[in-house]
Amino acid sequence: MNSLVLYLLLLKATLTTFSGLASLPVLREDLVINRHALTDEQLNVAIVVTRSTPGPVGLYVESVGYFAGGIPGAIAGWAAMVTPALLIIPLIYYLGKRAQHPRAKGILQAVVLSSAGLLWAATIPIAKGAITDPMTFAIFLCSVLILATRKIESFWVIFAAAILQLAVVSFRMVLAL
Amino acid sequence: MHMRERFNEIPGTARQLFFNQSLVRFPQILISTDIGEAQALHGAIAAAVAVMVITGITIIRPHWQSATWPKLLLFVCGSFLLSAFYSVPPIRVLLAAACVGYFWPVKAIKV
Repeated sequence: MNSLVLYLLLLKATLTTFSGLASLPVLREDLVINRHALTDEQLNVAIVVTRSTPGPVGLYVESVGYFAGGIPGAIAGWAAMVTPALLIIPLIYYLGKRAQHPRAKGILQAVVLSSAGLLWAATIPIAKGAITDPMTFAIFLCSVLILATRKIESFWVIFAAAILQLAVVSFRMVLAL
Repeated sequence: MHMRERFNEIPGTARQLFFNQSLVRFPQILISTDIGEAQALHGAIAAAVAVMVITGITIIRPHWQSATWPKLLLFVCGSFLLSAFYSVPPIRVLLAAACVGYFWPVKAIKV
């Protein structure tokens, strides 16, 4: 995939959403559904890679860029990730106090709330590929409960899930021998 | 220096590239269903789905105070339904939300 096109697609996703994974539905629509540059599994692995390492959640855009276009794609992802951060400086200068206007706040709130709904909608097809047996379903449920009730980094939950799954599979293999 | 702190010193971008290249160089981790590594990744992916679900709650949480329940339900459930059941592209959903949001301003909280 052309790096410039990839950059513009990733930029569209990072510019129209306001937090880390909120850009996921837009990315999925463009790269998985429309252009077939990526599979749902690759998108999921990109998130696993990002959440398994320290750093901002939005960094997954770079992994997505890598899976779609190799190293030039990763550079495009990095550029798409930092462009909104650079644009915000002139934006704050020109908009200034207008950003505090109730209508501006209303637009922002509506977009942020909608991005949560879109994120859940995008999670469904990804979950279909990821939760395939009772074990992965149990891991999913336990992870949701732990993340919702405890202040724990998602890295540890993902790491523990990987170890648990590995242990169960190894145990089954030993029993089968 | 603690190992995790040392790890944090490496720029996130470089870490991402390293992990992605490792996955591409050893594709059996993704493809094979027999070996343990593949199973470990399946577990990690299931947990990542949980992270996505919780991220949705994290996005909504700051607005529990300022947004009324009808507003919260309309935007969250509306965008979910439009995207999941009517396959409306996310950008259109966000644009529609922005238009509705313009006519539904946030009321200033009295201190």
